[in-house]
Amino acid sequence: MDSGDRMLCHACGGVWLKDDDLTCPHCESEFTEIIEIPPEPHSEGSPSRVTNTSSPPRLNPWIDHDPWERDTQERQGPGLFGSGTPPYSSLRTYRSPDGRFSFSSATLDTGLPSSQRNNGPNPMVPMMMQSFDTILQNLMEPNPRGYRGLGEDPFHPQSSTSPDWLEDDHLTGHHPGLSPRNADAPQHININEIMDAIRADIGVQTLRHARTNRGPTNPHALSILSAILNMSRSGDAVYSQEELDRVITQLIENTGGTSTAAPPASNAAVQALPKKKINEEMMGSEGKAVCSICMDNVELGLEVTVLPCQHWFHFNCIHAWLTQHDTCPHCRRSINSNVAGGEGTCENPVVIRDSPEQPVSHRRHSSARTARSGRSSLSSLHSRLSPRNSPRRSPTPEEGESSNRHSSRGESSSGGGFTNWFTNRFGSGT
Amino acid sequence: MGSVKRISKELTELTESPPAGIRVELADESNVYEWKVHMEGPEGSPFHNGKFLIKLSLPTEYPFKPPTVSFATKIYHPNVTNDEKGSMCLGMLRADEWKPSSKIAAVLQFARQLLAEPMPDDAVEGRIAEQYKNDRVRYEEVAREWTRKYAC
Repeated sequence: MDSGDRMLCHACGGVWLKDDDLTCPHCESEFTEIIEIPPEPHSEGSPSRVTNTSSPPRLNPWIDHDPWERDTQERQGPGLFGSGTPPYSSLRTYRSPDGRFSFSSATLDTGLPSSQRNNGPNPMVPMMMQSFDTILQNLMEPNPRGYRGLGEDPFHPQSSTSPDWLEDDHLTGHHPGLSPRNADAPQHININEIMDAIRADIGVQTLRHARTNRGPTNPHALSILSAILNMSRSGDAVYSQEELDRVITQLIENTGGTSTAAPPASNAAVQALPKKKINEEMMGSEGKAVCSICMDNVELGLEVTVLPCQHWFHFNCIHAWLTQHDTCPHCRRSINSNVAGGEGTCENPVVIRDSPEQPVSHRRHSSARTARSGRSSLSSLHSRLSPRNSPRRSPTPEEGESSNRHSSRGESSSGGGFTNWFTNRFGSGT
Repeated sequence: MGSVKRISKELTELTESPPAGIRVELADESNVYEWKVHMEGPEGSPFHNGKFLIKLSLPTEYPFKPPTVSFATKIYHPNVTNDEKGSMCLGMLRADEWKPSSKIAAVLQFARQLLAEPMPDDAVEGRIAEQYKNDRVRYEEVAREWTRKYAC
């Protein structure tokens, strides 16, 4: 050919000027490689030459480029490769005429005729693994020029004999597909860290399984988070604000939600609730009443269970609810705050007057006025309720006194009404 | 199971005297726990003239556990998640707020009311809530656009 390219023999390491004969003139081996020498001015027509002349860059830099040309030439030789030679790879580099673009291709050759390549264990496999590892490490390297690391790879024996231009700037210059990381900042991500992270993740899962097997212990919030993440998506990261919000919402529901809900009532407390036969007064003005849990009509004379707030239900219905929460399913008052005496219907609980002699718990319901200002939807109900609560625990004399003072003022005090309501409603778990 | 009886009762009530703009049916006649709800966008809201399909799922523990409400029809609303689930955030449906004496009819009426009056402070879509609070005109524009696109 007419180029100034060199030939490299992989068998004996000899280098000579390329001519039409592709066999090594020294050892007769056909395992040779063409090495392009582009800067030579007489290398016309070589696809890998660099044009140093001042001709303007062409619109299409690849216009006269044929990457397969040389490949074809190499394959033209008969399948008689040097016997006993180790597998080889060849690295070819192509550059556009104006030098702005370049790409490299590496070819692996088992050194066997193609007819034998599929027989027996492939000696290339471990080398390919090693090569893959090298690629990974090069990608991870903070230095964008880490691509040069390929030159130090023993897998590329020709690199030692490669002319200088092979390691020139063009190898590290503009590689659209080979420099995915930001080259400017040091990035100390390495494969070991990633593997550690994966191992740690597996470790977390094992830990979680162990915990579940041990029985009902309180899972750590982080493990809940981890469980949620692993449940709904494969990774352990969220990528958008919405997903993050969702995770947080789930966390709140899983932990905070149950903690603000009322705790279950004790079985003794449920069994101790008074029972009563439906009378005409309980049937209300329309002569019809339903259990507001099962929505079934009740008949006169049917025995129902009455809560301290005077709401009544079928025993089975209220029992099912109270095993989950110790509040009235209708007005949410705790069943542990007793109202002495009195009668009422589901919709019309009777008004019980405050008794000044009895100490009043700080949990007692808010006054009508403050309840109305606190939450209007409950006010109509609460306005009829002026309950006298027996305390869940014995109040200190001070508490009882101050509560009594509030009630003796005829519910006119605006201070603490909402607080009482709030404490009663949300603080029942404490 | 006791819940089936109550659910059937509520279904009958809702079918016989449906609340305004709400029509219910079972998604599958053999399963009372999955409902299909057809809801008309309330007048005066950007969802007006839209027909929204809502999935109402009742837990087997109903009425002791709250139902879940999700929009099968895409809707631009601060309280409905903008994803394939379309979950609606209703305070009364939260586990600690739920009362067994609440009926499905009340839940659905509340949901429809929420279409007319979003609760941006209780939002699941923060960005839509921000827009609702700060740029109502644009919010209604988008909501109307989505209604026209997905709910008509």
